[in-house]
Amino acid sequence: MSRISVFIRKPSAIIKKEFLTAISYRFDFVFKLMGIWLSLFVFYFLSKLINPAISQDLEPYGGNYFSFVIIGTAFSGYLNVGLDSFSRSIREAQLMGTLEAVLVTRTRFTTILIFQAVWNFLFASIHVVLYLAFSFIFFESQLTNPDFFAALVILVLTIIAFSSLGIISGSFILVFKKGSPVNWVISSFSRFLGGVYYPLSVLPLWCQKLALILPITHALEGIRLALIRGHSIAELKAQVIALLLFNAVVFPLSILCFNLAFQKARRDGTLCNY
Amino acid sequence: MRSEIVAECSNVKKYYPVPLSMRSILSLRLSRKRKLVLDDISISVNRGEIFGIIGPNGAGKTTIMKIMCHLTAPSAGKALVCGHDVEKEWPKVLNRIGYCISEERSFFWRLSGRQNLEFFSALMEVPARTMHRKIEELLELLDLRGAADDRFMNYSSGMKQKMAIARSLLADPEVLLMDEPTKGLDPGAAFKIRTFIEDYIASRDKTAIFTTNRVGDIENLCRRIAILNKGRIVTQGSVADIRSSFRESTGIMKEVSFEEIFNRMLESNEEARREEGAGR
Repeated sequence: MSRISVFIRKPSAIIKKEFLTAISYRFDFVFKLMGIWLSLFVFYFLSKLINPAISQDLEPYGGNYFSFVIIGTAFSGYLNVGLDSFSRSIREAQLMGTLEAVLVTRTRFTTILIFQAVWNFLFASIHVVLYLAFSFIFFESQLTNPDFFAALVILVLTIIAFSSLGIISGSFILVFKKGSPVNWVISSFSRFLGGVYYPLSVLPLWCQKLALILPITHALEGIRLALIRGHSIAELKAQVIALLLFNAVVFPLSILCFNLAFQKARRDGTLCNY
Repeated sequence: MRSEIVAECSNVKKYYPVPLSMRSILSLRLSRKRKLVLDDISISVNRGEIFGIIGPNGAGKTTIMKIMCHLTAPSAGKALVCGHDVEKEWPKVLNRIGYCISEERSFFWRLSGRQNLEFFSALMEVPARTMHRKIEELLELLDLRGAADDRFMNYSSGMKQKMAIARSLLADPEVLLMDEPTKGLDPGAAFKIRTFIEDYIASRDKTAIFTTNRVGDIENLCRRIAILNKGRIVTQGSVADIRSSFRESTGIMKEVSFEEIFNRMLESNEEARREEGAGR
């Protein structure tokens, strides 16, 4: 099989399998779409209450809480996918019993995990697009003059950052099978300090400083400024550099962790245990 | 003429770590004990033969298979497939083996049988132009064509086992590793699977390693066998050789079933181990 053929067939086979499995659970598929509407209503009415209270803090983001929180919750979905995808794929394969069958094929395990994550990110992107489209068309979301290219660059860096954390989380699952501390710590602190629901300026100064070590802080700041205020990539230099630095350190570390965990599980004979 | 060896294990040992008890963790005694599950296993399999590994549950059959296909690392010794070291040249090894897992959960239950085979074909790099033909051929050979588009979850145990065999043959491997392919099947279904394997291996010059805990599976199917008990090889050779060496060692001249020979050998092996343990 030629390299090009392999390059196309494997991802399409993995994505097709994920798609067929997802649509076989029809109720869940429809329920997820309904969930978008419900959360839009919640945030819309919440914004009526919150807007006047923190109008000064919202000034850098156009002064509208609804737009602020919609972008925050929509894009924090990528954090969930990045953190969850690898560990969930490994855990599901261990529980379902498909892990052995997949590991003895000619495809590297990391390739399979990456393309399963691609499907999850695709699904999350559909979610984000619908979320933003509904909020823009039916509610009072304001995206004046958005710079989509800048938002896309930030998004790619964000996905790499979140996936690196997800790979570290997956390494825990390979060895300990359940209870990765990475997911809990990162996801809790990201929601608290990352600026998903409120601007960082409402937090005490020490919390604001602590928030700078989290990739979600820079990701959401960059995405909001690009979409709400139309900042170009040059104007988002600080966020881009912060995410690049994070990726330069954490991505190689995640690959190292994963390889070590895989070899340990092979040595212990527990690779496919659950 | 010397036979060509296509798969072998030499002096393979495998230890599994014993999980720490809650008491050890709380008292911070964190040094882990190890359990020996394979002890000095050496087998060699010639091209074109079906080599049987028979033993009771927990004998170490699956661990040998997992070592041969790079799912588990040996603690000592070496495994080779088609001359390639499984630990060092595993991508080459995976290109040459087909692993038939008896675990029926190893498929995606919500996909159809055909969709499962298409998915695994892509991962096994079966060329796109031949994939559909190959899948149809295997479905036909294993009498699964009528149910190919049904969801895997609706298959009977026999059909699931046949699917596992079909999957292991997708990439036309040189060496088939079949881990208890007749597990949980009724005698009629098990017979059909044995016959299929025998015909397939003979007609295509392939090699197979077949594990089981049922004597009936290997007696007529395998040219040579190894009897495994608690991680050690009790004996290995052809069924006829094992039968005659049993007669010589026990002095029993009347016709004895191979099942009885197998059980007696396990009993005497257990006894020898007990004596060995007492002597330490």
